[in-house]
Amino acid sequence: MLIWVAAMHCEAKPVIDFFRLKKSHDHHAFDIYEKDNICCIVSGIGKLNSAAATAWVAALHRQSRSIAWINIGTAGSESFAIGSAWSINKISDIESGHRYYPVPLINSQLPAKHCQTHNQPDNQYDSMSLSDMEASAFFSTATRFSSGELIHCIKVVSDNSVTPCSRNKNEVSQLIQQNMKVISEFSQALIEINQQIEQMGISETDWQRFLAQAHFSQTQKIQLKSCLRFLLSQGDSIDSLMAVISSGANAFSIKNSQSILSGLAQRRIDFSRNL
Amino acid sequence: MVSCVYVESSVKHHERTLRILARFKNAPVVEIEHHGEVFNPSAQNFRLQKSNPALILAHKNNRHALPTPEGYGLGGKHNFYFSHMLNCLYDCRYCFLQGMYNSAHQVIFVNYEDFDDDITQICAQHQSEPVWFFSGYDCDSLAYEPVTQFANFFVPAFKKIDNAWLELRTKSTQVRQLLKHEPCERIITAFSFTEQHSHDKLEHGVPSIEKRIDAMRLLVEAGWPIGLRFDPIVYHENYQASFSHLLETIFSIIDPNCLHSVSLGAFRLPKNNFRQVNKLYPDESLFHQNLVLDNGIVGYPLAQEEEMMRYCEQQLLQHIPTHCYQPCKWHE
Ligand code: SF4
Repeated sequence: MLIWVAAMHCEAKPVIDFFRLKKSHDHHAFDIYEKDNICCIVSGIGKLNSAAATAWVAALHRQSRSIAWINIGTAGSESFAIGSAWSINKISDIESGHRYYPVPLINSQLPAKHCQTHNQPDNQYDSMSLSDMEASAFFSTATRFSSGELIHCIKVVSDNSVTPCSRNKNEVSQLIQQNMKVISEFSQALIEINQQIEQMGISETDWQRFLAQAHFSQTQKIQLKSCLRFLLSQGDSIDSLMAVISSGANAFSIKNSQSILSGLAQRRIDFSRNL
Repeated sequence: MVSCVYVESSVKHHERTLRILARFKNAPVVEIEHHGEVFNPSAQNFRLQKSNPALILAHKNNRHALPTPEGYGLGGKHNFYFSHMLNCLYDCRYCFLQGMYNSAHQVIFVNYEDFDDDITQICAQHQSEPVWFFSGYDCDSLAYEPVTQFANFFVPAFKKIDNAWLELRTKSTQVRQLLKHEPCERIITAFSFTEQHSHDKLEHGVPSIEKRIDAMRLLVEAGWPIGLRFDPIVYHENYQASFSHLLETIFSIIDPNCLHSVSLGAFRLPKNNFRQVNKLYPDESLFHQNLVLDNGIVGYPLAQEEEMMRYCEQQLLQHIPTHCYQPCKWHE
């Protein structure tokens, strides 16, 4: 699952259009647009809104095996060109003093910059960094749900010391829209990284199927998950493992948790004998 | 190739920092206050980072050299380790570093002079007795030598302290810097090997066995003492034949009489590290072998381990003099 978090609708629109996302009418706390494994949420401006929307949408997708995140939006800068797009490699929260370091994405075509997050619009541009109002809250909230490598911010410069911030929503959308090729390539690279994590997991539905076979203690659940993840990675399928557990013609035909676990454990020892 | 270089503000003008940065002209540079800001947060995935690590240039403030954990050493009385680097260029699946840190980024502490001061002071406290220092505890001692110039600095530093002994532990072939110096009997370069099948399956990015034997040969020819570390021995159906073949390959080129020490140990990991690496690599066969928990350590069942050790020891002692053999007996 890839989740885009944008403060304003005009910042989200290029993403919604590019990925042909559809508005969800199931939720009313925030505007959400979705399709397949991509979702975009419009948070509202500022740290509080961004943190609330990030946490809310994470809870909504709690069944996902892994969530990747991009905070897309505009930012101010002293001298960077209007319309230039940047990934963020350092975020400083001006009010709290906290700093965060999104991990650079390999092969990204987007140059990386430092971003300072403020409570209020910042007219005192910093010469070395961008200024926004959400990144720090977005990042610190998203790290509660995903690993840092999966959380990124992309900012497009909307104002600088020469050109003030545009109030025209179409113009804002246009600034992001013109960078959508490189932004979508960035998101594709992130999706691929996220898939590596997703493939290591076991879906909630499948997990419940196994749990329904017997009563497992907490420790046994950990052992069961470890066994299943390994055996699945070695080419066993969910159905073949279920068949092994369910069939009477195997070494652990009595279906109690211990016999299921020892049967699976033997199977993984056999698989791993030769590394 | 590194994805990014993080530089602590306090070392941004350090001569070693500037030299390292000059090697990575195309990597983005991010200034940080303390390496822990990037290295320590828990929301990091070691496995993902390992395929795209960043470099962190930092200052180590204190505790430059520490006593080794019990059982670590080569029979000496005073044993210390020091880490100019955290994490490794290579990616061995049995390595305890995988479960040690949240981050796979490589940290280089550039203030080598402070390490040298502490080492000098520790040696002065033990004056006439040999003091051992192990540098390959949190990293491979030599793998990053072209960048760190670690040996280039510490070889002269150790040479000038009469009772200081140094073990450089490596799986690399980076001996060029060492060869520029006159050999010193108190500086031992210990090469770690696993047999071919385990090497192929578990030691990602590590140079081939042949290339490492060749690096050993160059050191021996130049008069440097070397060591061999067969640790870990990993079980598989053909491990005996494969281990014997490894020994034959090594000793067809290396004169066993040039060896300072040889050690041997079966695969094992502290419980917490094991749990962590198993979570990171659920698809890794090594962690799903027949392993048991004994005294906080996950390893092969005692009988199996004893059998493996017995076999390997027997083979080894056919090649090497007994006095340089150091079995690793973690059960005791
Ligand atoms: S070479 Fe040594 S330190 Fe590096 S990954 Fe392998 S075992 Fe770990």
